[in-house]
Amino acid sequence: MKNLHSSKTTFEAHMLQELFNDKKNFAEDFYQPDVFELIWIKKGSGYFTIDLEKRGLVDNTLYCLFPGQIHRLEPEDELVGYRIAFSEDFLKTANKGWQLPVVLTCQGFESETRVAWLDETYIIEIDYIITTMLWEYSNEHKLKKDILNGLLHLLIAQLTCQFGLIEEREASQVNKIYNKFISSLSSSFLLHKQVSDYASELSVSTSYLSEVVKRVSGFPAGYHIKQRLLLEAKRKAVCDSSSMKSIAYKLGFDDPSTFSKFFKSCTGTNFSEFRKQYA
Amino acid sequence: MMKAERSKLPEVQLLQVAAIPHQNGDQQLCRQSLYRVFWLHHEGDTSMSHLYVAGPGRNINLPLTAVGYQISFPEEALILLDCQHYEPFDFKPASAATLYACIKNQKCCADIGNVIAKMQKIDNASEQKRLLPSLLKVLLVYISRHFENAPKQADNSCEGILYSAFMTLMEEKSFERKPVTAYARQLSVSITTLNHAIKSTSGFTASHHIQQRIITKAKQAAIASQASMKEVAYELGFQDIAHFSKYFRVNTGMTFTDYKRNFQMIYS
Repeated sequence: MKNLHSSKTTFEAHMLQELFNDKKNFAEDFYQPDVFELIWIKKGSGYFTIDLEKRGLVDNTLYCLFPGQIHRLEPEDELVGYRIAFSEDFLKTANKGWQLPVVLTCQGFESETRVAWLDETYIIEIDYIITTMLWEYSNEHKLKKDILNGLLHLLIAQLTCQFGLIEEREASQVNKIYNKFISSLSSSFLLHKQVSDYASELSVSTSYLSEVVKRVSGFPAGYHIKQRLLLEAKRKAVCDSSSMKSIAYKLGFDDPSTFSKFFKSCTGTNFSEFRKQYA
Repeated sequence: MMKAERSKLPEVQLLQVAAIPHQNGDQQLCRQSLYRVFWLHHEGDTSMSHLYVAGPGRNINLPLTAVGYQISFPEEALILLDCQHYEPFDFKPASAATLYACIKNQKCCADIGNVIAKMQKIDNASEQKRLLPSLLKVLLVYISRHFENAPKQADNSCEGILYSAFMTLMEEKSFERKPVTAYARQLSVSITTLNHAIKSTSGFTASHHIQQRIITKAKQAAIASQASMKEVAYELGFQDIAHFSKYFRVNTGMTFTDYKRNFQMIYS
């Protein structure tokens, strides 16, 4: 089964105008990238739908999208902005042991979207970083990969300041386990459906893991697994045009009817109706 | 602004940026084992900038009329950012004491100037200090580009070839502690020949180079990964953890745990 997180080292930096000119389909439909994306709308109007939540575009907004989130950009006139896409492996090329900063980790099961309205001082800083990135990206100079890596880290550090997300250095043992659970959930929920699978991955007992997760988030571990699966089912319903049957198999259900029941009991509508809403 | 005060606390700063006013003495002495980069221009002449890079413990003669900045950072910064192989910073013991480049290209001047200005603005006490590592990395790449064509002394003597072959062996990914005899066998020469060649080329013995390499690898693992001392010791070919612990302490003046604690702080 395919892992959601790609193992390639990818980095791309483009102006939105270029993207719309090159690939006509870029905006037309939902798509589900397997990399992180930073989309900065400098100027423009239209709609941006992320995980089925439709938002109006506002000038000077920066969206931080996680791998696997589906989105669709519908501009009404020409957009001015940038798109930076990169994989986790690209960030880690300099340092294997480096951990993802808080700004790039999904904290909860409803992987919320990070959106920032930039103020004047940040616009200048971020503009500088991104223009330098684009210049380096389109030119071939010595240590190109290294400088892009450095600039990306710089951008992320700026975002961490902007989002006001300061890392807790001394996370308690309980929080550490919870964070590990969430990150291993988002990378292997297609394979592992049992709390015990995650418990053995983290080398703790099943009951302890359940207790810890419930204490930190208020919901038991099984609930998180179910919600993550449901989220993926909704995403696939909208952006994957294949039949319900094949989606059920993709999500690791052995029996399509179990999947159908699961979907209906969680969302209240059945799969095909749900899909029609967003068609 | 005068030269920033050097703190005497064991805590190590990732880098310091200091403005250089008119020189009082022409010698910038270095008391600490820091790499130093000088970014200078002559007063009234903005058409070109001067870049000096000095390795740890090297003295440097700066032009009297120049103003600009000094950026200093410990070797650990290079290890952290995985920049040890960037060109002017891959100092080999035998290479030139200081390096100099004159930069006339407007864009290059602006790029380096911008990064340094940003570094200088950052208050070390604020949360913004997390920008410093990546700013330093960008600066190091910019600097490295100016030493792109720095002439490498091609040493084609027998000793020189043997020395570079030996150094290449040590650069291998799966480096672990091996006695000099093992290297001699790998290079198909006798141990005396190898020792002589290395000593006459670099001024240091083969075992010194091996030791340096082990320490660098250990430091890198300590600050740039979450690995425990046990894991690091085994990876480097030490069978006995107590031995590795002592080896590290003797060669760096700090225990592994202290080292890890001190330098991981500047990165997080």
